[in-house]
Amino acid sequence: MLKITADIFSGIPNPEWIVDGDDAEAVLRDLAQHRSAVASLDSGFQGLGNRGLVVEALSEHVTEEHGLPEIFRLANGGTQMESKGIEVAVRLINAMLKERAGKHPAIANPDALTQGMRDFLKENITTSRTAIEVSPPSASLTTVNPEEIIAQFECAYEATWFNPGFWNNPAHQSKNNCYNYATNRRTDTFAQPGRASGHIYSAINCTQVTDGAVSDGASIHCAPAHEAPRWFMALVIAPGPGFVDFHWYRKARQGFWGHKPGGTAARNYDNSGHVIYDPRTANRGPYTIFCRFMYAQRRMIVN
Amino acid sequence: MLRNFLAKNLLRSAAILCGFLLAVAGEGGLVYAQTNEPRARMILRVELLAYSGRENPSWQLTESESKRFFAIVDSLPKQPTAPVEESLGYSGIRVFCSDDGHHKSIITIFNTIVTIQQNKKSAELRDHGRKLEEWTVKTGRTKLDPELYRYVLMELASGSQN
Repeated sequence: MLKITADIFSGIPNPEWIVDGDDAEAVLRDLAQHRSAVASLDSGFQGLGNRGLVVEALSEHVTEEHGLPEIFRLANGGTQMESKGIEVAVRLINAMLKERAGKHPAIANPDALTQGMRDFLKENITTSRTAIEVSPPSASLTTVNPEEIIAQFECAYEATWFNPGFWNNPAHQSKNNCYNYATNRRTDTFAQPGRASGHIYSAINCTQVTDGAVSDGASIHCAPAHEAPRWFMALVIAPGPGFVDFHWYRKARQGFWGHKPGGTAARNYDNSGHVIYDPRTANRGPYTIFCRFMYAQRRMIVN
Repeated sequence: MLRNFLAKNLLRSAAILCGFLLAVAGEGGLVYAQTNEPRARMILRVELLAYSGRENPSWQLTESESKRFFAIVDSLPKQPTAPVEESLGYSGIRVFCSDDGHHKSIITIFNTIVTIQQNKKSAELRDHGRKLEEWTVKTGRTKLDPELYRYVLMELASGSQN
């Protein structure tokens, strides 16, 4: 999932939108093979006017699987392959009118996503000032199979390499919790199960929290291949008395489990300092009830 | 007029005295830095470091509580040590000292270690007997869920008392 910002205005907020699913994957695959079209955030034109598109990954596997920065610019005159950047930018701009483009908590003003805005941005992006076209890169990155299927338990699922740096960045760490981490969706909203779908839990127990996550798009059953990436999660509960809360873990490709207790740092060890190979037997402090394993499906939205 | 002059200067002196004394670990050892921010203007918000999924409860200290808080902090001895890492469950309290909506310093208190962070520098103090931690938790008695309040006090009682 990608958050796109057209960095063009000065006085009014820049338009932002979400590109996800096949559109996002196609763009990332394309850019992975044309790295010279990708500019760092502080490069290229930075003055008044069209400063290109800012592309930000909202899931950690984006950078891992495609070898791209977590956040970068396109089509602002900062690369040696500007025409490719403009071509991709136009595709991203065309996606701004799709139904889900404005339906995400990270998008502050979905009403700005109009046909007029789309046409305005396309016109500006294609008349970039400082495009310098050089020959295509001689050694593009090898395309890596984006999802390594790991068959375990009864269902197929995907896993990323453990990447705590994606979550422990000071700009994001305190704004994302265990649910964000487990679903691999960095919304900066301290997400709650069921809030995105309007069915937030009314009590903290296994049933209510599971139902909230399922209404957001998680599955307690095997998820079909077209729902990949399907992140493998585990839900636990602190039942009280006194201390009542929920907590989530997500399996990493190395075989252990990662988690992020509230606004603290993401990690792969338990309260005893041991690497977590099974959340059912890990030291979980007051989170004594193990509820179940679940899958965060591709269509899942959290907030 | 003289009374006004004296009152004004006394207030100014008090404000400077109340400037935040912060032990900062410098290259050559511990040094003291003093900010010009009068404590009287500071708002202290306490966050109970507890939950993973839910938002942590937080509350604001009253003016008299803030004064008492600073007095206890000032009395604590320095103790250079690694900050305590938070784990699942109750992990102490964090006090955000702010002025005009901007955080001036963040004080984290857990299991006898007090970590003060200000201007990208930090220092550690020792909270013998977890007195500062317990006192600060007790300022939330009427603001916290009663069962959670009792739980945290039990955690404090059963934890390290070094």
